[in-house]
Amino acid sequence: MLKRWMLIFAILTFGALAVGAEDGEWKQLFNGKDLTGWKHVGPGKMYVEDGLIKTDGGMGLLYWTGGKVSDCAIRVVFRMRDKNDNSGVFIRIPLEPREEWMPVHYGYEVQIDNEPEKSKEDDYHYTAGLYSLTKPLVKAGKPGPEWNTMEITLDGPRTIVVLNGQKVTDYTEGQPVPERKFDFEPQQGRRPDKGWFGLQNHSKDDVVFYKEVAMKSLKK
Amino acid sequence: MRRLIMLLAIVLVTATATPTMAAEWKQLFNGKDLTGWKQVGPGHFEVENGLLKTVGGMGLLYYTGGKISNSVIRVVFKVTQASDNSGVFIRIPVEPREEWMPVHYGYEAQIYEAGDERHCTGVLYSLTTAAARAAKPPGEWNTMEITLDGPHTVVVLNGTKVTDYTEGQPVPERTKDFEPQRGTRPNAGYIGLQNHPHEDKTDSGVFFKEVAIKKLGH
Repeated sequence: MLKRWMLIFAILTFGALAVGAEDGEWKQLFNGKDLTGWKHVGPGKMYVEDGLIKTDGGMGLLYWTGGKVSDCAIRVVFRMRDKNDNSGVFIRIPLEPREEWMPVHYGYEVQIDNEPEKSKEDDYHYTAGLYSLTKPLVKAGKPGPEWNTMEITLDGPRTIVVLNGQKVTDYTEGQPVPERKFDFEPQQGRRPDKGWFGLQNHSKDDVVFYKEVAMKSLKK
Repeated sequence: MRRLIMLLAIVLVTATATPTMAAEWKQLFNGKDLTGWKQVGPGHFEVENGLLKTVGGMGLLYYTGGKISNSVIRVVFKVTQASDNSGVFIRIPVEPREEWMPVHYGYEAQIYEAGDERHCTGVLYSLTTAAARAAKPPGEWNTMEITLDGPHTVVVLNGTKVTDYTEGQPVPERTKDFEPQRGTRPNAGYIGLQNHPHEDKTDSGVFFKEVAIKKLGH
């Protein structure tokens, strides 16, 4: 009798441990073959070629259809086709996107652009910064065709971006941001703790390849 | 005994009075200034002789009191000419910061008598077909009552039902860039008034006398 109880106890304990471990593991959101689980809005498109997601035209957004995410890390492995190209990872989008501008004004874009000065933009528009809102702590972007690993941590109202092992952004909702300078820059204001996320295709001259998009829950 | 009867009477009167109060009209425009409202996008609204007047645009003056559901919204307005353009936005899912999110994720109960049956006063802009053309001529006051009953939207213009739409019912395909994206709208949302210029950029002379809401009685 006691043995049976111990067995049940062991199974229960194991089960609980297993679930916890799963929560903290990386889940691949891009299957390497097609865009299952993703949806595109706005101009241009994305497609899969040689196991990579490739941007084409724009400006548009390929968003993950699995719903809002929070308290997690998002890992994106990307490279530019040329020495520099423009793209971005959108996070904290409050509504399921139907077009490309709501994500800009109500979410954040974690920027991908190592040469913002070439489009007359300042350091607040550099890779791994929150576009137009935060200044990079370090410039850690690698030019094309080298691979970059970007990890975005969404910890409640705090957003941390680590690019190639170096922390570039550490922003908590409510901290001051510079004034808006251009029409196409995001509207200011608080972003939600939970949001949809996606990858930007910026223009026909900007081609960026994505090898991996993965997500892991934060262990709390 | 008398005291008891008195008490009972007070209790009864209070009990009857409360539901009546809950179903009373609440004025959202105070007739004097834009307290409780906020403008996003180009242009603005002015208060002139106790009326809200649209200037420039396209922008949106939204009510800052939060999301509204299961309510009737009453708007009393007039236009100066048939080509004047405005609208009442409803079911906006998040607090607006600019003028386009409300278009694509909310509805506009249209004000524009020069429009066809899917773009005229009282329809959900580009999505529903007018059951009747019920607008008064320019210069006369119109009363628009928009009922938000869960996912059900009814627009009554001057006593005539123009729109009766429930989420999920079919809508025509989107034909223009500036038409709203299709898809369901939330039961609860922010509301607002549109300032929209004429095609030649001149001001639409649309005036609002009253904006009020009443909770539905169920």
